[in-house]
Amino acid sequence: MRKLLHRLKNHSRLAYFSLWFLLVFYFASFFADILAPYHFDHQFRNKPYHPPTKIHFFDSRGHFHIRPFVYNTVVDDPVFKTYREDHSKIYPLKFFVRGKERKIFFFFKTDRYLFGVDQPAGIFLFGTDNYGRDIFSRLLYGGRISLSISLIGVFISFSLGMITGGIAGYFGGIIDQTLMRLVEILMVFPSFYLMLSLRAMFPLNLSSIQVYLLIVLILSLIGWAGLARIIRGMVLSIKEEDYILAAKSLGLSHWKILLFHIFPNTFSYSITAITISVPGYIIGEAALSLLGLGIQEPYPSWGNILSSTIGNLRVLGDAPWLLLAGIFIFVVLINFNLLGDALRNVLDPKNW
Amino acid sequence: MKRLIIKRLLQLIPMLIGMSFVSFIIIQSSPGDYFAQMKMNPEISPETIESMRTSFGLDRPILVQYFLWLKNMCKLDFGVSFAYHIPVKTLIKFRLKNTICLAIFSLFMSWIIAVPLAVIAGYKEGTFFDKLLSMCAYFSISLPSFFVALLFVYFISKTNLLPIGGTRSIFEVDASTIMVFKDYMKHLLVPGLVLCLVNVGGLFRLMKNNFIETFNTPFILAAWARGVSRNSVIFKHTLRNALNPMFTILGMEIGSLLNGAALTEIICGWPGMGSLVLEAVLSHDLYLVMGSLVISGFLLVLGNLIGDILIAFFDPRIRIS
Amino acid sequence: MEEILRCEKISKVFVVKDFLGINKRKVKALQDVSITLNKRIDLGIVGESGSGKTTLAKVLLLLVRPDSGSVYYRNTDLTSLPDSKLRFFRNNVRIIFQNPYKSLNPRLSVEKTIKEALFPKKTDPGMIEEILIQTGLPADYKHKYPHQMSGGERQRVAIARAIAGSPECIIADEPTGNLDATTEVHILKLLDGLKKTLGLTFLFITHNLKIVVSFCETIVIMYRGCIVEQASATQILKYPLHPYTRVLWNQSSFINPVEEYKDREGCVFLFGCPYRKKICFNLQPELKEKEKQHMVSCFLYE
Repeated sequence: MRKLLHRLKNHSRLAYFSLWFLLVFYFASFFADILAPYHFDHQFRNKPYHPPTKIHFFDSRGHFHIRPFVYNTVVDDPVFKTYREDHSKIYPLKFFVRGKERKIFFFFKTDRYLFGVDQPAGIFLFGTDNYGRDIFSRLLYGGRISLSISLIGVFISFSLGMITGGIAGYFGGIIDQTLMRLVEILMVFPSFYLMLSLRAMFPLNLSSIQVYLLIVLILSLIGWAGLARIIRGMVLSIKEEDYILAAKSLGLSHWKILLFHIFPNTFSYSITAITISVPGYIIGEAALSLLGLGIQEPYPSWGNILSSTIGNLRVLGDAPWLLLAGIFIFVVLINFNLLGDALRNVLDPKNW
Repeated sequence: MKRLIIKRLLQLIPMLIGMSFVSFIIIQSSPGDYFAQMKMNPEISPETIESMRTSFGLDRPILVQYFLWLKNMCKLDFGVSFAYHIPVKTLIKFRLKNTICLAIFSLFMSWIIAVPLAVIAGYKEGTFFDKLLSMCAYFSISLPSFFVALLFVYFISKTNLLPIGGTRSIFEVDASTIMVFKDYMKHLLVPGLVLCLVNVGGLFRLMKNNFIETFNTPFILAAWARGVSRNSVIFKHTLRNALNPMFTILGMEIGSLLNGAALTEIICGWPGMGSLVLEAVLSHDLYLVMGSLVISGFLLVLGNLIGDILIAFFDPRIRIS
Repeated sequence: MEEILRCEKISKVFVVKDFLGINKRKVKALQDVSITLNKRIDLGIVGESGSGKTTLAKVLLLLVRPDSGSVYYRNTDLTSLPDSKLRFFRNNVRIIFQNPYKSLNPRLSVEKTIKEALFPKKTDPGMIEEILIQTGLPADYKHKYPHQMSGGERQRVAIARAIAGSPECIIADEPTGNLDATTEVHILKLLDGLKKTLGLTFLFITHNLKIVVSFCETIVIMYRGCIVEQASATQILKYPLHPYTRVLWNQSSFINPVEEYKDREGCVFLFGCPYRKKICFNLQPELKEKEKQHMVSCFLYE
């Protein structure tokens, strides 16, 4: 593993950076409870569509403050949602600031936040949405949902693909034929339409945890077919290798051969494939949530943060910072793509 | 060649049957009644609904329903949409036309952009220009289509440069065909550009790899050694061979465009298959969903077939044997 | 004489597809091949590449199932048994493959590779080291992976794997085919030593007649899937009968290396044969005993 990292670093600095970047992203999302300045459904009722808060070092009289601070804002025009800063009082940025009580990791109760400002001012790094909720916090929490869905989805479909592809490729014959026909039928569906139809199989008003599981299920159901086909191809070629014949000639059972000789040799490909297929799952989740079929309010996901902008030019024009969710998706995707490409080169035996 | 086409066409049949069966099962197992919306309408009497139910064969067992539907489909009759009360065929025909126009437009655009750039980048491999383009390609493949669409919509809402939503803004009866066409193209531009932008990166990368691979083969070296001119080596020898594998991609792209186009269509308000399927799925419009799924699946397979045929056509090794 | 392994009338046809999978071509890898391997009498199979020797080795171990014919191990017909019932047989008959770069799983360490091959499964501590030392490798090689070793060392690991189940017979499929000349000598010496210390019987497959003559008692010459001559080493050495065997002995006169793909009638060695007669164009001669223990399939001797 360490050697792999080293090779990756030597091959491409950029991809190595991507790896760390992604790790930081996942880390931040995982610890959203701690890092976010507000809970995801903490509403500032009087501050909908608030633009990103300006962080100051100099106050209105030109005095420098070593500790950055913000001003409270008041609504200037309630129709066009413009805000003006109230320069009468400064609200310095503080660590471990007191706020609304919430649970961390579902059971630690606390009212302390890692950083923030005192009420009634708010620190909205990326602005607020129509309910006056902090987009930055929602993006962090949303990342937890979007990124975990993609990881679990990839894991499930990869296991499914590995098992079916492995069995089909190794045993061949009628098993192979049946499984591959099934895979082909699944692949003939345009995946977006299939996703919609599968979602329609279930009622719209599910609990949030059910929706979460459902999305994972749908995404992995769509994703496994392609992986199964590729793994089958790999197993077909590995099966012909001499060392598989050698294992067979030792009288090992089929399962042992599959488990200890064939699957480990698909490993380098698998890592690349996983890396490259994660973006598809992130997009899938986002697309479903975007259409209102995925994660439901008040829970945030990168898709449903964007969803309020669809078909509503006014919102889009007033609060373009909602598009930051899209940028988050884009940034994660590009890093996955960079990393996947580099991994493909690094793990390709031809380049050793 | 002929055998290949026939073989592929024959393979299509069980696939479509399997696929329609799967989609039938999916739709059937979804909750809710197809007539739920109609039942709420006080103007439609319960007797009408019952008679519709029998006329659609919806009171029969599921398998019978499926075979009824399959039988009708062989006659190219996809049934009637519950929500729109018009034949599914008419609905799909209209929407499909738009989607195909969109797909062809963006396909054309992205090939026009990607192939020349890939040739230049491949020829000047390793230069700053190549690296810049590769970076841009990364951006392109990592941009989710819905995000680009939203950005475009945002940009247009600020500038009002182009019309958005629908296919036409001229509704005069006496508008000339050219005017209508121009108007149509204007509306097509936004979703078309979005899709083009999203697809061009992947195409560029594939094409560049093919070009470099072909460029380093011995027969190109031999061409250089013979003193063939640079342009001839690039265009006649390398490009022609490098384009070959791209035809498979072309076929597959037709399918993937259907996919990628759906969200873009919905966001840009382009009345194509994507928004139709979304509506149909949400309102449990059974026959509409089935029809769209089968048609789009058919297009996908057809795309692959076209790719295969193009390859076979351009590759003398297959064409002649 | 105690018979270990015998195959009768083995035929195997491979179907080769072109790259689109439309046109198919049949390749006859083995045609009615019968051989018998007796205990303590090493058998050598000689033939050029493509003569079906490797396929024969795989068929003998039932790694490839024959189209027709049967394989007997100690007079039990194994041909139609499923893989799961072949465990005992495969522990007693082991194979060494030609290419040590391919025959070792790159993801398994030497220790695991050998451990898998042990029979019975229980491992006394130090057993793996013992086997390694037997094959001339230092004991600490058990932690190495295939890519950390040279070709000769890898082949020694492959040999260690073969002897790990204390088999009675080893099929060596060109064990030195991918090695350089000096390593070849070392490996051959090793195999010869093992033969004596462990009481092994070898079925030695090679394209090099000179190696086999010194290593084996009986020799079978194959050409394009057929046995063309079978005799003891001394007979082959002194009185080669079949024209192909003579060509093998004196390789400079091998004037006509025709590559043939199409099925045709007649003797397999037809186009390479300087003595061909009219009948050779129509029929493949049967393998007949010409002298005592000396079989040949050629119309010259009928």
